[in-house]
Amino acid sequence: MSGEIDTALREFVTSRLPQLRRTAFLMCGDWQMATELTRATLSRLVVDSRRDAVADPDVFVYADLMEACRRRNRRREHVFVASEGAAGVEAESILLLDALHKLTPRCRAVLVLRYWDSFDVDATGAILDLDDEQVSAYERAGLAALERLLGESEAAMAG
Amino acid sequence: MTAPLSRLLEHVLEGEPPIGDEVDAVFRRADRLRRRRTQGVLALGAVTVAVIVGLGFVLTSTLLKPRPATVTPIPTTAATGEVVAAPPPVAGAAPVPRVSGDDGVLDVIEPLVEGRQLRVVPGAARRGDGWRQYAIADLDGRSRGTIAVAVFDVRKKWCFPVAADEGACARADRAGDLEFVRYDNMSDPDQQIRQTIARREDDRRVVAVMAAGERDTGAQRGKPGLTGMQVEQVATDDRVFDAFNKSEDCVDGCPGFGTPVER
Repeated sequence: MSGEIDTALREFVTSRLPQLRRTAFLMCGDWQMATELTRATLSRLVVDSRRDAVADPDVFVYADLMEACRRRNRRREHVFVASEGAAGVEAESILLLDALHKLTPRCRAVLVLRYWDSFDVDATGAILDLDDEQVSAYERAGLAALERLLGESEAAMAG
Repeated sequence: MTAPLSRLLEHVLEGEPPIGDEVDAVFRRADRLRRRRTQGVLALGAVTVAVIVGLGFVLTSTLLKPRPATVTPIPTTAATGEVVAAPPPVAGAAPVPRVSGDDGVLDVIEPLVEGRQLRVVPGAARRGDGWRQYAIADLDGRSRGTIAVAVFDVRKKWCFPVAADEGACARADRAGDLEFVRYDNMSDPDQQIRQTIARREDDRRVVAVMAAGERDTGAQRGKPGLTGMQVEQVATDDRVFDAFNKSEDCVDGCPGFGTPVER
């Protein structure tokens, strides 16, 4: 029985880990930290699943990850950190990351879950413990702010 | 903005490091986390048990603190845990020769008597099967009554007597493996008695110690040669039990005690 659970958990972890780590990177801007947060979240999922304490694994891992990113951002001012040995990152990507991280944590989380992880409003609300109206409001505010920030950055680069 | 945003985010992720053995690292970390949680639960359980035991001990020792079972309201050594220290002999007092060199009971009594500026009258000690009796006098030679010590072989279900009620049993105080009851009667100044009866837990023998003041000599001179605490101290001294042979039983010529030991 426990062997079957472990096999299913390993499959789940293997399939979700890459996407989850990219989500974490978009939230924190640091590949090393994203790897650490993802590992911690998935290990908690494994432990809690083994004692049958997880109802929905996807909601569990994304909610746990978003909470971990929120706590981490409180203690650390965001700085974009590329991975070791990575090739140069395009300037546009850096501008987008910077703009993304100038948003409030809630707005950033809603935009990442909605436009990167493709969760619908209900699922996003369940992960962030928000109702649908709040999710929509954060999404509108986040998109508007992001558009304005990117426009300002492009104007500055053109100038 | 929405469709371009998704595409833009894909570009941001260029330069993503390889996954490597991250899946195994997740499971290794999960095992460590499980061990830490188990240890935490065990530690919490141990602390909880320790707190419960500590509280239980404090509560029981506070709420069930034994009250003195003495007839008089004088506090006992068992109840208070105090050690009765005999006052030192008065400087210049003449040393009193020992009555007997191998009397275990006298070895216990004599220092206490001398500490009260009294003495055991030499040559006046009486003894029989299961009992000893000593005459006490002050330094001027005036009689201050007697001290009687006796051992009784009692039945297994024997209980401490109550002077006012033959059928009742007195509640005993404890001192180590001994239980005892004090029977002091100082209400009559012409017949003042301090008495303690003690019994060992694993022994069918009972020891009775009585210090009786000199009769009909007034309240001051009629005081017994030992205080109530000292009588209790003698009765609960293992050396007194051991001073009697196992076969001794106070039957013939046994001194009369204020509160008799009914068998």
